[in-house]
Amino acid sequence: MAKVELKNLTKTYDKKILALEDINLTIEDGQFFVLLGPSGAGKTTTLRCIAGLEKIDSGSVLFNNESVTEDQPASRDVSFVFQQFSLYPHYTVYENLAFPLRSPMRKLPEDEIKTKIESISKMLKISNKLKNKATELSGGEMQRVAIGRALVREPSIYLMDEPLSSLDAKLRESLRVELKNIQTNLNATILYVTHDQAEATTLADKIGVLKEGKIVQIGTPEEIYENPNSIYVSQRLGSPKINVLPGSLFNINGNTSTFGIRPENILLGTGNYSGKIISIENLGSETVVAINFEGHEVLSSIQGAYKSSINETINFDINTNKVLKFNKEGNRINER
Amino acid sequence: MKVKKKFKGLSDKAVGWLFIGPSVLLLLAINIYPLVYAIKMSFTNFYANKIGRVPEFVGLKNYIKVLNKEAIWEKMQVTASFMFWTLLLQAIIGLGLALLLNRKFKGNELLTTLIVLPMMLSPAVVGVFWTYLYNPQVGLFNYVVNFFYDFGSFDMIGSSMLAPWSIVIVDTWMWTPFTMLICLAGLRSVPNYLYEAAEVDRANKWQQFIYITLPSVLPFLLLALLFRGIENFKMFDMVVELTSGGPGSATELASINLKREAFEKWKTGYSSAFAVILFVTIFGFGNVYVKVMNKIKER
Repeated sequence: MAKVELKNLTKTYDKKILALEDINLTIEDGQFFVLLGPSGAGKTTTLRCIAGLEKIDSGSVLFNNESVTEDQPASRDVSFVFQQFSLYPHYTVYENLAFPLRSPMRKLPEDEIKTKIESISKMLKISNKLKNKATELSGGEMQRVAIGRALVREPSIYLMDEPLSSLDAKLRESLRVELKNIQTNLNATILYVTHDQAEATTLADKIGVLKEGKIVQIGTPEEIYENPNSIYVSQRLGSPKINVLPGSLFNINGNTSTFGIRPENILLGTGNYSGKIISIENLGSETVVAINFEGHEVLSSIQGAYKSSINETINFDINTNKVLKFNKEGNRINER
Repeated sequence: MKVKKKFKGLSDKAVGWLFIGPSVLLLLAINIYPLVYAIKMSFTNFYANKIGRVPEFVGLKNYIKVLNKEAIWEKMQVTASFMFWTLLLQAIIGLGLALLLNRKFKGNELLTTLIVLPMMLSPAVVGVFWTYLYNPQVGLFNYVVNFFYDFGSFDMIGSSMLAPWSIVIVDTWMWTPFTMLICLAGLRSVPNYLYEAAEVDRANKWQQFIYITLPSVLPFLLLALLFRGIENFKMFDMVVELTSGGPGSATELASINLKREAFEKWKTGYSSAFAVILFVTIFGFGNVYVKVMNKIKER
């Protein structure tokens, strides 16, 4: 495994469309790094630049402090889980998994390949599918084979492009846990791309938030959640979504133009503020209550079920210590 | 809800028949009827030039005659070797050209159009102008060959050793674009991310070709060769114009021999039997080939 660094990386498509601008990023050896951002933010492009599938305009890519900027993908020795699976359609699952191990640059003996594939397929629960053709699998199985094809190798870095996005919720959760275990056991360096915040917070050692081709904040999941440096970042994490409200509400002092407060910091049943309930959503372990306060929708989430009905007027309070203040540009002010 | 009044008129089935009716009739009239008629005639001693003579039923006599005639087997051998070399060359060159044209470069489209041109010419015209190209005194072909290596004077069409190659060369020149086009369609259908995955998996170009490109184009190539095989089994016009089966019978393909028996010697019953044998042969081979092709596709 390797430490991977991006220095001032800039990438444009067709010399016009700016995809990545001045990206600086360090992924430590053995770190699980998650890139988070909406589609079009440049997540996939970042992966492709590291893999060497895209030529970068300027800047450099370093593996263990050595530049690989000019190297071909094969000599960079990375493994890549593509979003669209990209299994080799004419071959069986076994042959797909064996393919990277049979590369002339790695040539392992066949019996060693066999043991490797058996252990990986057991881990990913595809042992009974090894003889199937790649095209005869369900979407979830294909995705697991694609992950397996990356995991049979010990590359410099694992690059994963939304590898769980096409799975159903149950499988996604179990594989998420499995993936984190694998990473811890192998002490693997992983750069993982997603727009799913649950994946980001559960998997990541560090999260990098991308916005329109720029890294806007890097930090641990807790830092990103508790201490976002802009409205944009604050909205990336948290479900239900953070309340973003005008500064004039609730007598928040200073030159706050906008402020954000997470739904768990809106306390129901006490306090001096009151509003009408718009909706109640019971999610099992928590309940999300939407309140109309002076024309603004305010979300509150509370533990367990909540007995009340729509259109009822309710008192609530806010935890002022947890208020995030932003200026006109949407950036955080008086950061701690 | 208001439902529009049901359209009253022809049913879907009737409309369907209306569309395919004319072509079915045409097919029956000019393909199926002559075929049935020829099968019937193949059991008689019919001579189309002997008017008024009532053909007699002779049983399998014509078939026995055809299959026992050594000359027929020579023609079959000429046809088989013609097919073997044309298909082999067209497969290799066609796939090669397709691989080259699948790359992105300037003038790609213009070059494709130019390469495809021979295919669009009439085979008879191709046959005629290649007789000029092959002319030993003034022909361009001999000049070009001698330019690279001086073989001295040789006659592609006149020599019984070279004549079979002369028709192979012309057919390959004319029809390689066809296999190329179909292979190109196959190559375009291979998604680029497979190559990216292979590159990341550290496969070299040769492995990428063997593991990804070849299995993807193979069904396309086999289909192209099926078409070419059927066409070349009944090859007639181009070869007649070029060598008319000569010298001697060096390039006398089965179809040319058939035409001679039928319309020069007027042995209608006999040649009908020959035609039926050819038909069954190609039908049988074609079916086996399609089965094999489907197996490969499923793989």
